[in-house]
Amino acid sequence: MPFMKGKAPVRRTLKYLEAGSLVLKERIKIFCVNYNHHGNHHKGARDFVFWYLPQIQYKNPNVQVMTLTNMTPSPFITCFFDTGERMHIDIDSKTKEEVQTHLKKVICKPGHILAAELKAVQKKNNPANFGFGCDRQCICEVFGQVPCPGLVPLPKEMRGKYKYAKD
Amino acid sequence: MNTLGCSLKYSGLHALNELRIKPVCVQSVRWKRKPRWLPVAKSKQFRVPERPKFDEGETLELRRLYDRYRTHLRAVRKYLKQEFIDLSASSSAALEGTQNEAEEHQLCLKENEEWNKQVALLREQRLLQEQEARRESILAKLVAAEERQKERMEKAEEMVREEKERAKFYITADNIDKAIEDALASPVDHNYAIDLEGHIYRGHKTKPSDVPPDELEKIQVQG
Repeated sequence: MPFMKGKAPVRRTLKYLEAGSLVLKERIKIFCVNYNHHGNHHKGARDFVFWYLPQIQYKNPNVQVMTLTNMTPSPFITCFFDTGERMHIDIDSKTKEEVQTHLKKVICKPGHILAAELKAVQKKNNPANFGFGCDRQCICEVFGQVPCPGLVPLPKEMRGKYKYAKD
Repeated sequence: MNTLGCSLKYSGLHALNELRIKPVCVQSVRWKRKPRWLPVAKSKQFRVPERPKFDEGETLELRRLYDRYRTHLRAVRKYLKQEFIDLSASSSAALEGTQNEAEEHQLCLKENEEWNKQVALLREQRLLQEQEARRESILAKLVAAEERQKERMEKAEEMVREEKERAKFYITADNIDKAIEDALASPVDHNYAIDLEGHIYRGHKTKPSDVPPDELEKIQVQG
């Protein structure tokens, strides 16, 4: 299929990217992976970068994710925090799954915080809301509701001047 | 549609612009309001406005209802305000959260340190193994090189020995006279024929029938 070019184009599908499980903590600003193109002890790092880096960048659009290749004899990950602190994670001779589980424990948001954030997002995105900041400005836009009195005058029974007129 | 002598925009009738309706009948207003510099009209000079009379029971009831309503509204508003403050960044819960975060951060750092140590151990082992393998391969290469060198030396010595052997039969300035005498003394006659069985018939003009069958000699094949 000429549309899905490249080695493993499934990495570029929305489903794959949404399935990423590494949501980094807010304190982390830069995520840097150092690895080589050759060498058995770099294989895990290479696979990690190939498979999991797109997911990480998708889930953390405000984090600078970068790779540096063929610079050091052993592979490692460096995380830079907003305090200026650095955290080095050695991944020599580790498989991509091991690296992923370790990163989840060490630099990702804990499960309960992710659940709370998900709940908050759902509350904010309630599709039933209308008004400022929502999809619909007024309830009159919804099919089946009373149309906007600015366009179609309300019947006399609903208008205050007829209901409360003393004749 | 009545307009008040100004454009639709100022009177708030934007909808008409959107609908693109042109009102057919337009009426202007002649009197808006009495200007402040005009004196009071003669009919109104000694007017005493009537004080409105309020029923006591009604006002009390109304006040009771209003108080009730406003209390409820104030309660709701305060509740929402408190909720907002709770969820804000400077609330006590948020600050505790940050403290927790710092502690968790330290825990994560420690865990990472342990992981790094283990990985360092594995790496040391791997490097040792690689070193051993390299040492062995280098030794093997050295041994092979030595063997090849030995073989080359042996071949060279073989060649030298052979040459020395053959040097015994070289003709030098000493034995040239003797060599000439020997050569003259032993002429080699290449005029001979060979038949299919390998018998030699020496001589320029020898016929096969000239040599008796008893004195035939077979050609000597060298090597």
